[in-house]
Amino acid sequence: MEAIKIYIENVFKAFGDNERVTALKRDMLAGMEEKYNALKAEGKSENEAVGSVIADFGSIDEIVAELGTPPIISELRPAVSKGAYEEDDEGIPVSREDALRLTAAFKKASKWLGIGVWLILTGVSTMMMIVNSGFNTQNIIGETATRFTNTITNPGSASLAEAVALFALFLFIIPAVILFIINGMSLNRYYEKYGNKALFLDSSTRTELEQMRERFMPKFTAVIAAGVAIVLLAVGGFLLFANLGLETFAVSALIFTIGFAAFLFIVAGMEYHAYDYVLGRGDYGYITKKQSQDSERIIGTVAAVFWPLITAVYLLWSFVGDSWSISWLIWPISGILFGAFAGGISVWTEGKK
Amino acid sequence: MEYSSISSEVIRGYIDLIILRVLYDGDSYGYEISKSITRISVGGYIMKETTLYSAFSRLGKLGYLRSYPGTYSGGRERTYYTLTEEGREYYKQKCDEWVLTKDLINKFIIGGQL
Repeated sequence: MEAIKIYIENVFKAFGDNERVTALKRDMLAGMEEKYNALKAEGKSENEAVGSVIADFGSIDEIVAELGTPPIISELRPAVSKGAYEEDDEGIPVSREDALRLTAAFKKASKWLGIGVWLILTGVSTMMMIVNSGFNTQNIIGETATRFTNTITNPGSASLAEAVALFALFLFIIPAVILFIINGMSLNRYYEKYGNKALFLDSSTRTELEQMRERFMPKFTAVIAAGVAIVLLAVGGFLLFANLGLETFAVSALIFTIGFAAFLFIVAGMEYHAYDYVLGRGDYGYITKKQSQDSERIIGTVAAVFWPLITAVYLLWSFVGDSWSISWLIWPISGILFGAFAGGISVWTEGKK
Repeated sequence: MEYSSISSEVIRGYIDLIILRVLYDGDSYGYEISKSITRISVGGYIMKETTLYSAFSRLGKLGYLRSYPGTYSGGRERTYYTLTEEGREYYKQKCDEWVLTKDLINKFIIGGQL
């Protein structure tokens, strides 16, 4: 009987590990064991029984027809999976292990990146509370910025509250930056390895990942909904506290609460994105990838000039004109303008093809 | 009868019919179905394990049979299969097809019965 078990293990080894394979293995092994026992009961020897059972096993072709080509074979010649891929596209065959490792890496990185963002928002919120050392400062953003820069430019004249606030900010920002660097590097490994190429998966891995994605979707919806609820809660709280005259607290609380929502959005969003990337869907559909290379190049070049420029303008205007209270408007405005520009470029390059 | 000499291409068309016939009279499980096939063929025909189990999978996907976990035998789980209504329909269709096929091919057999 051991020989039969080993035989089955070897035959199915190439097909990997998933529910369908495990179920089929279990059923076939059960049937073969019963046949073996029946033969032994008839008086057949161990060798005769095992030989008979294995002889009746059949051909692996029929298993391939049901489970799909085993991954090892498809690594040697890229199997083109169903989807947006064309026969002559450039792509990399990805083994089941690598595909699962990629997905897991994204999920792990997303949690740390989420924590990093939360740390930054919490740090800003804490800093605001401390530096204003009061709950009802008017024009909080302007006040915070003024005191903050005061601490940096005139360290001697800074009050204790301002110094502590600055320290607190760095206390939060430093671990956040470290997390960004570490996790950014670990994800970068995959982007470098696969670049913009299509990922070829064999059909059983593809099915397995699609099933994983299906199971994830309800979780995704729930997490996003929770995040939105938190944002609404934050806004509501802000309006409440601002009305009560507790302006400093209102803004700090808003930023702090949004930190939680940001964490949820990042974690859910990155896992969603991971499945898209590995399955070649949505933004990563291969046809879309090819087209988007051009528009990405244009947008990237413009961004590299545009954003530093806007930052310089913002800082200059605020410091020289001491107009922190209105200069922040530059950010949402340029954000919207740039978004419109990027969208326009994408449509234009798509139209060119 | 030397049924094993029938080429696999020919018999492939009737694997479904054979399995559905066994299940027609009642639910059964893998090994028992295999035994029934050999018994009904009066000892001549043994269906390979891979053929049998790929057929279960295929027929299940087509909706002709359903599987459910069954009673334990010596501490082991068995997967039982049952025919669906669509399965019974399909079995009857296959029987009709066979009668027609037999009729046609007989005409080309030298000395064959009509």
